Amino acid sequence: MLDHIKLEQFTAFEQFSLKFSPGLNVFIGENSCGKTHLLKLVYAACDISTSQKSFAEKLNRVFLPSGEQIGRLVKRRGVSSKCNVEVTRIVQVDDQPKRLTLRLTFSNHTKEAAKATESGARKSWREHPLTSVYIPVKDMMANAPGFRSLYSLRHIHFEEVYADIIDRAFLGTLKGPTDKDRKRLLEILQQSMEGKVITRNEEFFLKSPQGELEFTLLAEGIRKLGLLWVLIQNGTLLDGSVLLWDEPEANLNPKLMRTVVQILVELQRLGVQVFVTTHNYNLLKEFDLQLEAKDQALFHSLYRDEQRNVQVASFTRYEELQPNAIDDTLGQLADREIRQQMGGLGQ
Amino acid sequence: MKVRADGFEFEFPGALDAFVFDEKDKSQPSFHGLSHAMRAVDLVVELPNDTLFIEVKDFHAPDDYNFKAAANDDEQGQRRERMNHLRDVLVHKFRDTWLYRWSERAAGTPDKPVRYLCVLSLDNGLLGTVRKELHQALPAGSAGPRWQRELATACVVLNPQRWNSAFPAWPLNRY
Repeated sequence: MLDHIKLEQFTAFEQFSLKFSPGLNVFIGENSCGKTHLLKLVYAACDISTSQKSFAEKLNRVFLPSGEQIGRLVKRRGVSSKCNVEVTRIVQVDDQPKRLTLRLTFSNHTKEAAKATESGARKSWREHPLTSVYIPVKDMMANAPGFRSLYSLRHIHFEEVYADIIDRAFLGTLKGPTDKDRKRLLEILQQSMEGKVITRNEEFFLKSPQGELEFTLLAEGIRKLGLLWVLIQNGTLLDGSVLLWDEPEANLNPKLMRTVVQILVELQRLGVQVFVTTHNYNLLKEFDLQLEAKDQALFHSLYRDEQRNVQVASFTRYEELQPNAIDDTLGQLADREIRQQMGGLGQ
Repeated sequence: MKVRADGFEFEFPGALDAFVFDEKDKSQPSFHGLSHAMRAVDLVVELPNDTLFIEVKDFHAPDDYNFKAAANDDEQGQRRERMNHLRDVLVHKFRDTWLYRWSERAAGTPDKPVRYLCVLSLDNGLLGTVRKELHQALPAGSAGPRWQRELATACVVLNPQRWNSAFPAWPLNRY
């Protein structure tokens, strides 16, 4: 389980620290506040615990700075600067919780990832694998055929999260019968998708009573549900794993948001640590309505202070969320409508 | 001119009159006297060229009306019913107030456009939904195919934050 993060001079962040919820973490904030960067950073830290790659190398592949110069991930200040990244997680050792902290330091002059300094619990970090999934905004399921082999054979300019998600989706099914919790979640998704997902020759199909439909012919929203179905069915999203999802609302019909939020809340209850970014009122409201007192959730609002530095405020309840960029925008829309209706009165 | 309703104090500088429309006190000149027969909005404000009808409702559970974001069909049905009830109450109050004001006005008094302002403690995201429902049900604007004049020129649904943001000249405070 990820516990907290500390950043100095990393991308949009000057000085930044954030404690995560062990359950659900919902990030809101205007564009350019670093929501996606946070998710990618957390993902890179999780991924190296299983892939055994270097943290700097994974960061580079996930962020893809120009020329793969890792120094370009240091916050731009016009002077020489050093960046520090610190990620802390809690693992169970002999049934006791133990904190592991992984650090990475590099400067804006560091060109190669290999020159960045990784320190902290480097060995223990990789001795305790943490399964993680990063779902990017753009769907990749329909583009899966051939993409994996192309990505492994050629140096194509794609952030590694796109190749990784296809790899996760192609993992084989777990041995043995599906447990009842997973079965229940799969059924919820099947009801919304009106079918199950099958794969043939690296191609995904939705199998329904009407026949088999290739993913390229499916609505993007249904593809998203299909991806969740696959990740639950193949056991990637199990107790103790981490799910990071950037803007689940993208291309999603508001009616499907209820299902998506239901699955995310249930996964959190089953022990999956969930990180979600959103710009969408309906999605946030769904969380607010579906979360119960027993749930472990934090709403994190990222915003820029007067010095334009990114700050964060975290709340356990949606209604306390402040600043709330989504609500503020809705408020401004309401104001414009009110003024229009009032014909200049009250000004 | 200041006037109070349901825990809020409104201020309308330059208003000709601003009073509690549903006045129960017989000694007051604005005593309503027909509450057994007609419903009433909370406040009426007479501006030089406009009339405002104002209704204030402070909900404890605003999501009870958020039928669009219900977790299941049963809940959606219950919320839709509550929303319909709220809308019907607001419409009923407006129309009865409009008739009452028409009846008490001296013959030949020129018409002024009436705007209906409902101050409801709802999320910003819900205000537009309720306004649309109310606008169609009043109905506001030149609604009927044969209408030559408007019952209500406009209706707006706003929470106290939006009131203060949209109407800098009319401060609203809790008392």
